[in-house]
Amino acid sequence: MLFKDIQLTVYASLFAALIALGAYLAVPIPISPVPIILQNLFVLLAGLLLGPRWGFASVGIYLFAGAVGLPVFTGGKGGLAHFLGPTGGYLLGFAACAFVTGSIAHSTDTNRVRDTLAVLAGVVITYAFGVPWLKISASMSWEKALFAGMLPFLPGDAVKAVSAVILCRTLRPVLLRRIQTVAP
Amino acid sequence: MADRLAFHYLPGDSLLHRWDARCKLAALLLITFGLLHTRPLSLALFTILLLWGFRLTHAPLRTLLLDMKSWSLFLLMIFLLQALSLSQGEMRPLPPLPVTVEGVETGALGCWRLGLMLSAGMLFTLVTRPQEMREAILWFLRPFPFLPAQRIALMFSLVMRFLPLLLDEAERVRTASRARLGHLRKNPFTRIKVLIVPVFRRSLLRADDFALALVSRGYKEDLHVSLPGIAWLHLSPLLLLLVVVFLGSMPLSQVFRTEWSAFLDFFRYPVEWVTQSQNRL
Repeated sequence: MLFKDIQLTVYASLFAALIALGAYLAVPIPISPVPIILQNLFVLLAGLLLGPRWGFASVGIYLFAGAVGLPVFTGGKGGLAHFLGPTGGYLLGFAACAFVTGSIAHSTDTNRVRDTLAVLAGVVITYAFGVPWLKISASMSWEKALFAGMLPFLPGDAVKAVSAVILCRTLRPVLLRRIQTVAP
Repeated sequence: MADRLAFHYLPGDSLLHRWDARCKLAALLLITFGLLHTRPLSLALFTILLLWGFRLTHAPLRTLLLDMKSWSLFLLMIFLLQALSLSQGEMRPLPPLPVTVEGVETGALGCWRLGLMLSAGMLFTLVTRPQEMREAILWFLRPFPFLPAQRIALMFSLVMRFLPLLLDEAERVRTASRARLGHLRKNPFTRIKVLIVPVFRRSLLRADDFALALVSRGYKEDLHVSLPGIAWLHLSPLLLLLVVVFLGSMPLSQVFRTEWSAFLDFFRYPVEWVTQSQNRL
């Protein structure tokens, strides 16, 4: 087993822990009544920094920890039953989001435009899973599902998407340097 | 590190420490399943159960309560959100505030449940060694041969180690930022940046230590792990939990619920409540 492989395994676990703690980090913003929960910022960062495979793995481990019963889902919830609840679609959407963001952003020439596109696609994918699931499981109409499960969060998502791109520019060199220097 | 206990493992020899890790994992699953209902009766039962659990571990409860202080801010926020957002009802106990009894009730029950979930997670990590946790997960993943069980178990136990480590780092960075008056900044971008970048850098260094430690100890994924069968004695507490879960979701709690709403009626219609109770007397 390559050292780089183990290193990325540990990094993916680190990101899973960050996503889990993100459920408890709330930053109030002036534009919207709903405070930003930093959780999907870390999901986006996992995709951007680790790439599709390891980003997906890190969200997968986070979902596994939540399924086992640790209180790591948004609002401190946990347990297998939440996958079937009204917010279960967003949980699966996180995994898809990390994968899609990772596959768009991960290439030999990374630039800001590509990162921005990746983050936007990631946000769209999260809602593409979350809103239909909310509609079906809570048997709402489309408009109501959009109003309850998407529109209030969009200002926060804009802030998070911008922060993800900014943070990625700062953190990517740090991560790449660690991977290159420590590997034998 | 020593002044913080949340999500750390505390070595010990209590009953809960000696309980089979697989049963502990199953118990955690059962508890989260039981906490799906926010009925006062089931919440009260789980509170008693968890308090008893914490007593069994002989953990320094003062330190744990201090740890809970930082979570209580989060719980308060959730409570306020729920209390303020459910404003469809008419009854307002405090006229100037847009608060309804329903909102306060659901908010309080929701916070109670969240507190219980956090305590259950804390209690589990307090009494389960990461090694045992890893083996337990390997055992549970045996029926799914297509999953990379060894890797999942390793990553899960790494996540469990990173949780307290990241909390410590975040606390340290936040204290440092407060010392430099960082909490006075209004811009959310800057606030996110000054918190996350240092925490990320520091935890990345720790992550590399973990990776080096794994390699230097010859980590391999093809090692066979065999666990003995679970003794009947270890399974019996799970039965007790099952009973509690059932009690919490039985019609019995409906009876309790009417009592609860009668109690709340006092806040809704204080004058009518008093006259009614006078009539009863």
